Amino acid sequence: MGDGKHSPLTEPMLYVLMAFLRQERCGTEITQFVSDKTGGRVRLGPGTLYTLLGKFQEEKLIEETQVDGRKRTYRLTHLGRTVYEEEVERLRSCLRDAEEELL
Amino acid sequence: MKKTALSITPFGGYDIPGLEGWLSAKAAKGFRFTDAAGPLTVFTRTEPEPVQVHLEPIRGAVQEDPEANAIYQESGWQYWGMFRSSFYVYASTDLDARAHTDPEVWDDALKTFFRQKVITGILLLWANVLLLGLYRQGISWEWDFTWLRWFPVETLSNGTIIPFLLALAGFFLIDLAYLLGLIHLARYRRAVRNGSKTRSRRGVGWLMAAGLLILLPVLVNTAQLYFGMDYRPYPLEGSGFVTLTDIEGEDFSLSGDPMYNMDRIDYGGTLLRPERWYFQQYASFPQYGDVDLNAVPRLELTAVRYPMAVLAEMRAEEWSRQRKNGSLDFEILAPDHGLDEIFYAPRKGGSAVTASGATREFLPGGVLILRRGNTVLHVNYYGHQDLTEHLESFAHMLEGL
Repeated sequence: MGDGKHSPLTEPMLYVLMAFLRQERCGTEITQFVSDKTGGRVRLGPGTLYTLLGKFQEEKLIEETQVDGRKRTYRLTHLGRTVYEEEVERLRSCLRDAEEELL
Repeated sequence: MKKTALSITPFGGYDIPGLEGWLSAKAAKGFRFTDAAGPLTVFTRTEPEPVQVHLEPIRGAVQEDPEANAIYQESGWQYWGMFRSSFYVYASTDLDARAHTDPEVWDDALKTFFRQKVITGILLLWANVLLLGLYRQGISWEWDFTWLRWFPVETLSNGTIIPFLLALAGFFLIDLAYLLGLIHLARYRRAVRNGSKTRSRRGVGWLMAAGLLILLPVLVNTAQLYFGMDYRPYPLEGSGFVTLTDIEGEDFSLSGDPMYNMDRIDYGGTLLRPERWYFQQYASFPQYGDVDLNAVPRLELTAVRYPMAVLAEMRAEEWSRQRKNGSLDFEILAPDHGLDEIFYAPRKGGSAVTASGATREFLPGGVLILRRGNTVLHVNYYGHQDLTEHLESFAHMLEGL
């Protein structure tokens, strides 16, 4: 279970966590992932990404696996996955409520 | 044309929009940011280029962060350097580029930065207390402020009041600049959260620069004290100082106690305390029993060199208003032997019966105050010789200081 203090996540936070779901990544690959995933809808500024990597690492949502020159590679932790899944569930719930009202 | 240029940073150290705007404007004029330390910012001359500058708060250790640089570079930003120990400076030629695209994350970064700077502020306050406490120890306010009125040069050259007052003024300006910086940072954070804008205030950086400028001599003075540079005694032999033997004659017997018969000249001085010399000699006296030191011939010399002759002149005048253990009023003698001023107060000898019925003898002698340029010498002598007969020797001694 997550600790609840991370919810709700902002879009950039959600997409940065999403980037680590299937593979380890270094910071510079994440911007491209978010841009590709959202078709450019979500813009991830370098300051935002840099701050998020530090914050997520501090909060143990991701952990560093490799340092290669200027590149640092991270992977999602168990806590990070739980926080991500809880956020997805929250969004699903929001979406269900929203769709019910549309009917 | 010089490749680098220096400028005093006009904005507060944590005024992010103000600093970003200033660095962008400088780049547009052909001055690219290179480094910033204290109140100064260093620029390299380049071709004028319209850029957008972003200051990213440094997290953790104050060193270049290759990962941050790589992330920024990937998005088209160029790393320019570190602004003090607070920010990484990045620039982009894309004037619409945004370094932070999530206000919540930016707010979070600013919150962490603000906390770091509050802790630094507490350390700054601690430095205030330490430095002010160091010089406050040597000050007796009641005593000094009464004396400050009547004997300003003597009081201000005691080595504690000037550093204390300078430290007080310097820290006031620095603390004020720091506090204004924190207030500005808090306002900027609120503006980021609300999506509004803040107004930058030019001039806060000048406060800090002025404070550091005032504090600089105090820091140098403190370092001199710390490394013992304020006390540099040298041997009496070869010093050119007039001794009790010179006055009383070769056969005169001096005390064997090194405390009463100095074999060295106490000498010292720092940036904020004038150069000073001190030397004393006593005639021999019994080491045991009821010894009255007033009855022992002695010579005490104190010299001070001021940065300006007018201060030495004032000090001579202040000394001439002080009576020393029964000395009479000072008379002004005509300048001679290259001396600019000569004050002389003879002392009458005699004896008196104390409350216990014992007879105490008081030696005659006198006090001489001599000034040569910016150096003033105070001679206090107890004995039967006439001090004025040795004016030439004292003048020669002053010349050699």
